[in-house]
Amino acid sequence: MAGSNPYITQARTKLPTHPYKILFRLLESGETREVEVDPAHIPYQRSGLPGSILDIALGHDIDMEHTCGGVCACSTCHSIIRQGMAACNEATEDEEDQLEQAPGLTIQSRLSCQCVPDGTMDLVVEIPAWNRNAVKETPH
Amino acid sequence: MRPAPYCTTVRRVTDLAPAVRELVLDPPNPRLNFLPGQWISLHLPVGEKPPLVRAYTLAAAPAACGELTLCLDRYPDGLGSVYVYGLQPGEPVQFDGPLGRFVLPDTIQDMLWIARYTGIVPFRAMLQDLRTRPPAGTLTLLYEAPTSDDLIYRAEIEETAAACPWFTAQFHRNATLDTVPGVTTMTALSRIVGERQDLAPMVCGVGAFVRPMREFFTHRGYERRAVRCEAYD
Repeated sequence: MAGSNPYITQARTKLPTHPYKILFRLLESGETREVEVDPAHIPYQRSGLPGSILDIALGHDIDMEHTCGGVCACSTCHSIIRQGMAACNEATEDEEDQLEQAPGLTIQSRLSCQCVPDGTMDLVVEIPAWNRNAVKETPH
Repeated sequence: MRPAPYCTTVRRVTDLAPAVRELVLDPPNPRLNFLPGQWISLHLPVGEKPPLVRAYTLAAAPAACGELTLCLDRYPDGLGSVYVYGLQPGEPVQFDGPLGRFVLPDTIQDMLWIARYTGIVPFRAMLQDLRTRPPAGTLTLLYEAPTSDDLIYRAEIEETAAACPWFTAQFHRNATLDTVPGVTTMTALSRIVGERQDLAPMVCGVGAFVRPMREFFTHRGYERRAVRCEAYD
């Protein structure tokens, strides 16, 4: 229950060995926040893969939706990697399955809970406006 | 704007197995409209930066009274798990949802459900639903757990099997600690599937259980996505 989902194939990740920066663009509020990722502090908290975009965002008090707790069971932590995708692990089929449900999908889209940068370059990450339908989807 | 989470309270707590507990929640206001198999996202007042968000599958089909049922096993190292497992009647619960696509498929195919331990939870909700609107085809459940005591909801499942000609259930014990599928379960699965490629399989359990099951079917020609697997822990 601490940020990994035993029901799915775990993403292959390589954690950073040197500090790097992520510029978060929060589209709902229009704010930007730059954070420096310190490998010594990974994991920052208990949701998402260690060192994931979600882990780093929550660890720096950046509010990011993660309805399933960051275990690749929903798409609410959808983010768009505008810069630095080459430094991120490859998405698994399970992540892609979930991503298909995300609104505003782009070729640079990832689930923040599964996307782990290796620190070889800085990133620019957009967090789309919080999606009401993603969390309040009403069946029937 | 983000909608406010649902607020409710724990109505009652029931131990189902040595480390498995069922929580019934009072009807939230407004009531929750959900499909059997879906989960809710609990906002837990624990951790260094609460709320800690954790997902739990609803263990019963929608009830006329609006109660919600959760069922979970206690994971000693899980901050959220320990908190939720320790909730007592009258204590508040906040949640979002419902979410999840591990629900009854709209199919006329024969269904095959495979579960280990608390992986039975979404199936239990779906089975309750099917009793009110039987499926077009048949339904077979393969259910394994570490011990007989851990086969939660077994009596209810057996009663359903006795009452519903479209439903059969098999129970297996598999005490292996790494939770890979048991030999008896795999033998039974091979016997049920045989050469058939027209089943609608659904699998729920830990990863070490689910992955070999999915591979079992894909090796027999099933498309990966045709083998529906739940991920909610």
